[in-house]
Amino acid sequence: MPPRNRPLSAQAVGVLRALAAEPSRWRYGYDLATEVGLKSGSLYPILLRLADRGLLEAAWEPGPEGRPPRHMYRLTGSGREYLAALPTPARLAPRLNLRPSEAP
Amino acid sequence: MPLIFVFVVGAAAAVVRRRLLAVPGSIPDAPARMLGWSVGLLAAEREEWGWAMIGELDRLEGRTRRWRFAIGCVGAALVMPPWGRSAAALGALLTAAAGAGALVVYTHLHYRLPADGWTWFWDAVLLLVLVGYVLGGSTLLRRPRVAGPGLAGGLLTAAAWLAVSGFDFDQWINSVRSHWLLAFLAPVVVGAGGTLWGGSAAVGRRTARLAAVTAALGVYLYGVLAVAVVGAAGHDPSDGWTPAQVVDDNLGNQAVFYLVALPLMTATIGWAAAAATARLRPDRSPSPAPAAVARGHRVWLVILPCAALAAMVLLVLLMFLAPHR
Repeated sequence: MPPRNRPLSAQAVGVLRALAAEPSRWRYGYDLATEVGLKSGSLYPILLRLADRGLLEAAWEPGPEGRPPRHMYRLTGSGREYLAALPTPARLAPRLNLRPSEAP
Repeated sequence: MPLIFVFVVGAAAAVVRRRLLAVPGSIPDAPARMLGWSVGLLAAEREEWGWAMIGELDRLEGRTRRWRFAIGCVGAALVMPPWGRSAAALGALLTAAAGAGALVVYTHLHYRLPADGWTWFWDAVLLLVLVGYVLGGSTLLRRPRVAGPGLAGGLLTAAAWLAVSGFDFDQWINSVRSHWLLAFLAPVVVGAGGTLWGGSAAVGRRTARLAAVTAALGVYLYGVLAVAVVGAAGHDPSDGWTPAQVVDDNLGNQAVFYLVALPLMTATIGWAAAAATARLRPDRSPSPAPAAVARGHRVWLVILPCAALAAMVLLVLLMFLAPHR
């Protein structure tokens, strides 16, 4: 397991920021990947690291009959604190793939 | 060579049987199958993330989107920690494959073997086979309850093939002299043992495949080392062959025997032993497939293995009845 105090990558911070946009809302993996501009191969290791550090929590949404359940994610209190404690340049570092309506 | 054909026929019959056993309409598409296979590589404590990927893929529409998502997830599953003790075994497989490759190159250069377009082609095939075995071994090593019996089975299989040559380094190069029954018996023990250890035929089959890969790499390394050391020593020049041709021929024989025949025999006989063991000692988990097989399929399930078995028996008989050199 990686050291807990190792700084997060810019992509991981991007995922945290995407989750922080609506902290109480559960998000799906594919939606997050699309919003942050990550491939699934990068997203899941990041989600795993964030969950290992206790920065996000996961829950299962039961699927329709015969379909597998779906994993959902949202920030924990620690995740919000971590993001709030980041210095400003690091918070701006990740380049998110924002939709035109969301662009600043 | 007939033996190789026999085992290729056996493997093809197994694949066809598997397709026939599948319940119509229940076959997942290729991205789902690929992802389902790869998440099985995850360590037990990461299994939840594999289910997360499967659940997400299930909701995705569109062929391209599904393929891209599944390929990314397969990459993540292959590298996702922890690897644990499997890393040491993978290191051993890599070392054996790299050592064998290096010895082949050394033998080519040291004995000044003739090289033409086909030489490069077969070297490329050899490289692909070695890389494929390492990759295959790396995936099998991470399957639950497979690594331990698979590696032990690899040692047993390698020992059986060495015993077939009488543990004789000088005569190893081309020798299948005595106790050949051991080469058939070892995979039976591996497949049956893996099934009993893991509690299902699937674990037994994977155990046999891992044993096949590890034994193939280990014995091939031994074989090319023998060729590199012995060269054409003891060769009678009156047969018209040059020393370089003898070494080249011996090198090719190592690949055919130990990278093709050995793994094919071990995997297919081990598969049959695993299936037979599971039939005699059924899985604890219920399998829905047999109950759903249509009547027409059942007929094929009997005909196909019988045809494959008959072909095997015929070819083996032909091989043994043929005049020996």
